[in-house]
Amino acid sequence: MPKSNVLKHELKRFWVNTILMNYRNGVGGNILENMSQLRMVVGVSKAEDEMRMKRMIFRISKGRAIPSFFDLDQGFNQHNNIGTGEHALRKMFMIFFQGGEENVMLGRIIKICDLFSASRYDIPKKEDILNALHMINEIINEKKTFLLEAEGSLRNFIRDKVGTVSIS
Amino acid sequence: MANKYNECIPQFKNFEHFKSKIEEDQLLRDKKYGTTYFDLLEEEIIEDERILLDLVSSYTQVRETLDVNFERLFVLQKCQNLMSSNTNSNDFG
Repeated sequence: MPKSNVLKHELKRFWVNTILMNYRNGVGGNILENMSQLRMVVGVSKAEDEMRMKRMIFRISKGRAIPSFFDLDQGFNQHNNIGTGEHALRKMFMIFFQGGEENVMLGRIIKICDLFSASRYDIPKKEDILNALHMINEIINEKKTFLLEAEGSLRNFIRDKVGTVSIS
Repeated sequence: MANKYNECIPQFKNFEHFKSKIEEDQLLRDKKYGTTYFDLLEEEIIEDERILLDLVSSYTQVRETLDVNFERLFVLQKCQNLMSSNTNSNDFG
């Protein structure tokens, strides 16, 4: 393995371990910059953009931002393919980098995310994550009911309009 | 739109059938002074289109919000798994 790759790997290992340690000690994803000045951007992008995004992040940060991509659960992509199936396969990413409050790197990374139409999400603190999950589940159930109602009224309207001609 | 939502469109058996239904419909409509049957049909179609587009847009909006919430849920779950105590830096690729 070339020396630069070994260094990059070691740096990534150190950053990730620091972030994991911070998180387990109750520090949220957004305020990881307490002592270590490490930050993390989490989001979802198209799976096909993974390599291009990695390359662009490397070029813009000169290797000082480290992206990791993960497959999302099967359930997510299955949900996305319901109906028209027009949604592309999506992957979650985590980008680690170093910087303070007025961070130029953060601005650049956000621009890259926007360029690839990737959505970004705030990760709450460890103790708040369960509450957040519970809240999202409630919202999802509520929206599912709305969706069924909206679909029902749409179908009823169409049926009402096209069904006025009786074939008998 | 009916095809998209799997609603079947009834077809007329033949021209006679079509003609009889048109005559029935003409008798049912309340004709205003100076308006033809086609004017009435046009008005109705425009109004129906407006309602249909409203319904479709509200459906699409709810669907998009649901998608975003699903995405957020899966991201948080994945983060929770990744940050749990039994992961290490090797799990991050």
